[in-house]
Amino acid sequence: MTNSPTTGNDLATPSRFALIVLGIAVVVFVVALSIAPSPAVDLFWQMRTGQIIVSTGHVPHFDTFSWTRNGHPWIVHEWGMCVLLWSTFKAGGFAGVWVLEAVLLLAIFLTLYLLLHRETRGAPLTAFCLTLWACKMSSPLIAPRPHLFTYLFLIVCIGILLAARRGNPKLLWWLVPTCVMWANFHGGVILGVGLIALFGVCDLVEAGMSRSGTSTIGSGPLPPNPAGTGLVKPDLEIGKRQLVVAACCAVGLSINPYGWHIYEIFTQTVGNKTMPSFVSEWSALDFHDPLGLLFEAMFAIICAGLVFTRESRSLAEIATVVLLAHASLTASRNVPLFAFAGLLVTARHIQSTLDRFLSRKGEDRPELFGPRPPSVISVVVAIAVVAVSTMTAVDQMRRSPDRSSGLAKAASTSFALHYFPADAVRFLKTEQLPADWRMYNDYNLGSYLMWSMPERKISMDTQTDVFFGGVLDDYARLDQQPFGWEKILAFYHPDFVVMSAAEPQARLFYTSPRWALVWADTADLDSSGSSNALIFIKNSRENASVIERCRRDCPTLVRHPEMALQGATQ
Amino acid sequence: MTTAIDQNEPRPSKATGIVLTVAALIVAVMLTVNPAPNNDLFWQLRAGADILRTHQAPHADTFSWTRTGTQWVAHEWLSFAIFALAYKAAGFSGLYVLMAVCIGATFTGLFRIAASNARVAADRGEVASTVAFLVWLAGVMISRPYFQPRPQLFTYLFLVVTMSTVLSARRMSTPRLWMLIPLFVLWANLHAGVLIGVGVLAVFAIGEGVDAYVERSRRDVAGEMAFARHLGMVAAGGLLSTLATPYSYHIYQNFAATVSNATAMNTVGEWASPDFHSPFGHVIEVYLGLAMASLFFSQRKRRTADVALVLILLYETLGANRNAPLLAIVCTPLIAEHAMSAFGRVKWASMIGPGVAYVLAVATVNGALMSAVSTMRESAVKDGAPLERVALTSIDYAGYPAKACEFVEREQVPAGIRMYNIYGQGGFLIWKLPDHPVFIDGRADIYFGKHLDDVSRMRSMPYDWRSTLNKWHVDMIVSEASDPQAKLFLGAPDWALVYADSPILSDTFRPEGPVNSLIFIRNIPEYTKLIGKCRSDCPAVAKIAGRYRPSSGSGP
Repeated sequence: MTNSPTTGNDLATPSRFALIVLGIAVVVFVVALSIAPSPAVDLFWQMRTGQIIVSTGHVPHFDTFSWTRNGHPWIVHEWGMCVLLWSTFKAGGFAGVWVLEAVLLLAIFLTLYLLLHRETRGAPLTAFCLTLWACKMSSPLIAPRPHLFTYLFLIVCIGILLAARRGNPKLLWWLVPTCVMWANFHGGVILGVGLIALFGVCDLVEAGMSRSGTSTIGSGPLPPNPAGTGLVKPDLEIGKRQLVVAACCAVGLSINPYGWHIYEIFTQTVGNKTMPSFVSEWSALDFHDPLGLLFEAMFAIICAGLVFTRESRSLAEIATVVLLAHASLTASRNVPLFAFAGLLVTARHIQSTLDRFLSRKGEDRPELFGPRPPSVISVVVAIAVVAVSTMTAVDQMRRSPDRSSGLAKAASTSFALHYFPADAVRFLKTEQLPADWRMYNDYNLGSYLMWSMPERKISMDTQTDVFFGGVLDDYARLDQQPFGWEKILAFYHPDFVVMSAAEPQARLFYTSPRWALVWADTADLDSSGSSNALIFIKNSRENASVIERCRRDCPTLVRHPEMALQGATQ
Repeated sequence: MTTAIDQNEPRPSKATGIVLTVAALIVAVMLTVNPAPNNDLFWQLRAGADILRTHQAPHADTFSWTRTGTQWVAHEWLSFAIFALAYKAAGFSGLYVLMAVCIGATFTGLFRIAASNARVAADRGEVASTVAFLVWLAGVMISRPYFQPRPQLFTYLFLVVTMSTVLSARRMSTPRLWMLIPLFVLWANLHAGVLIGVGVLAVFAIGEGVDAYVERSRRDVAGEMAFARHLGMVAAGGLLSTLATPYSYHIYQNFAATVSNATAMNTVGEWASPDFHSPFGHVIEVYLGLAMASLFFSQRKRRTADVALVLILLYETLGANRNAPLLAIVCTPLIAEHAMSAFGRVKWASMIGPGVAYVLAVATVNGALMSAVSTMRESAVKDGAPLERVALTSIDYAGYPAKACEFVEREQVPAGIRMYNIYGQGGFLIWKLPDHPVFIDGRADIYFGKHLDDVSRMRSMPYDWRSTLNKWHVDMIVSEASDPQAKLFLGAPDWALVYADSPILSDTFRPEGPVNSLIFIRNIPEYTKLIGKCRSDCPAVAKIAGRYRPSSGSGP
């Protein structure tokens, strides 16, 4: 049964002017947000992996970057993005990578904006506000990383699912090639397949309940909106088709260099107990952080939309919101997924609620958040957003210590390249520590160290899934500075340590007589802003001369010799 | 709002109602046997004893050496006096009984309101009571970590009374709301949570007004508008009644300072967001899912006030896990109605009979009893009468530095020595070592500003921790092995370890085991004799000193 729209002023032609003007503001906002500094800790190992793939012609199957997991099976589910990153770096350096990131972000948020415009029945200001909100909620995870493809493909998939429910079920088949492509860029494709299956199951359940006479989910005490969104009530046929498509997508996922092994990434990642306590983006959402507050506000709006809507609610929509809310609460990195999926499936309800509360007597649609907001308002809002975004971006670039200009400056600001221990790496190369010495390094610095010193193997980096198990558990344990830390470290027999001063376990080496500090970027170990790399060498008679030479060559230790006295020498 | 009792409202089977009510009471009381560190209890006992002795509420701090003389708004002064009386009468057993009675009354009352609200949406009373019990159970589980002898108990109890009064007034149009005013006067002297009560009334007033306004074009809403105005006036009266305390308007200053202090929010555990990887976080998620599902699938009209209260209290709980019981108490009755309506969609819902309710009652009582028995079996408190053991277990007495305090008294450590203690021990030290003022304790509002900032900084273990500590000229440190800061002092040559409960240093955090208190004294000539004497009287110290060789450097 189709909800047929009736004539009335709610069919007023949406304002194209407002759509375009606000769309321009979205573009500026997104570009400005992409300049916000965030250390690109993953970028380096991904570019190096891309380089290997391009030069050898095949994807890696075993780790070759670390000495702790050398030869361990490695599934580079994001191999497509690694190749893309290396190719753009080769063509245009970090500036090229930043342009790639900006293009991807524009694709994501403009697609979201247009789909939200459709779902809100052509209310440009509503679509604009929701898009900006989703953008802000994604900001902590905006980086040149493969999950940007998950964001893009997720939005596309949901757009297809919703369009198919408007009497176009054949559109569902487009999900299969979408998922196949997605599977070669990021393992988040499993979420997409899960979502398609969820829609199928929920629609079948809802259709079954309708048939049995049980009152359906969507009906309620409120009178239905006579000018609905044209959505087809879920029935058995759509439900079945969605499940078949989901099954095809699940099979199609194996069209990647690793075949069905791509599923292992998912089970390993969500099942790992150490990551949530150790990797900040996998930890639970903190509602004292701005991200937590943004999530709360969006959650409240979505709930209010679902509660007060005049549209009929579907089980699939509610299930999507609930599951992604759970995912966000348990891992803050899932918040953008909640934003994209949650907004898309509930946009019509949010608009319905706005229509209900803001419409004047006798009208079905409000003026401001309706299809034809006053042009003046649209222009003023757009100008305000453009102005604030531009000023913020310019300010961030001005504060960056990098001396380059133009796109290179944008890139170095965005990737916070000043954070990485370039001076410490130069020092290590100059001092020419023995090639067979084992380096124990900071988790967040491993990627950069591997990129800058390809001749050395690292102990770990942010290819976290490679290190699941003992290596990651021990590293996380050391970060808690336990009493028996030396016993844990002894298993690995490191010869020297490269650590950021901000890393909790750095204090263990700093105060231990068994480790000698030989390099510090700066003397103020409690400062933030850059990694402030520290290098320690195992304090033994055999290493005494190396230690002495290194300390003489470190400007910071020459000026502050007391720093080297934290641990007693034997 | 209905203007008369709905004659078609289903009458519940009496037996089902009684069985579930008794089950609710037993479950609530059994769940109070739950070891939960309650650092605040001890300074509250001392404050209560002082109030009983001097017959006046305190206005300035006398417990710390860092903030002595600072204005202290002890808004829970009457609670302190009640706790002191209960302790005087029967020790910790008396406190436990007081807590159990409050919790039992609160949560049994909560179930009754929830069942009553659920019946509005039900065809049969048994089904309503059963559904209400399930929602109630979820609410009890998110409240359980806060079943402690603290002034909040009175807020929970009075909040239930407030909700009961408002909801029955809304249903039956009997304006008994003015009786809340004297309740609020009493509440304001027991705990500042009275402001929550006033806030709830205000939200109801605004929500009912909004609903009436939106419906005004469709029907006569004069009655609803009058009810909304009545609620507003009672809320205003409640607000004024909060001034009838020894501290008058200062209670608001205190409230505003507390909720706006970012350091406190990030330093004090119960002000942190729930951790959704912990069992407590999972239970909150379940409650949240239940609330949302009920509201989404309900066939009942969703009142603005109800939705607003759920969202507001959800916001408060996500911002500070200590607000979970408030969410449970205010929202459980509201959710129960919609849960019943949502459940009523299911075809077989009407087939649920009293048998299901009885099975549910037996299962939950059994579960609660087993939990209590298991807790007592694993308790570190082995001696004493049964009720005393239960009382000491429920406040996790083994987690406090009782032996360390006895050691300090035995060694006659000078009363004027400046002591640095960790936040979680301050309350106990105030009670057990009244002659030794503390550095900090659980009265976080007294320490707002530089003081709390420095404590927070020390907890982050900065490299130049000495510059933070030394400006306070501290000479003694009382810590515990599981506190990360202990590692700073153990490895420092300018601090001498003089006492340890046990030579086995572990990173295990309370309440998984008894505390391992550590005492350090500054390693200067003035204290050489004291250090030597203390070390010789504590064998555990020699064993630890052998494993920990301080570094030779003095640090930046």
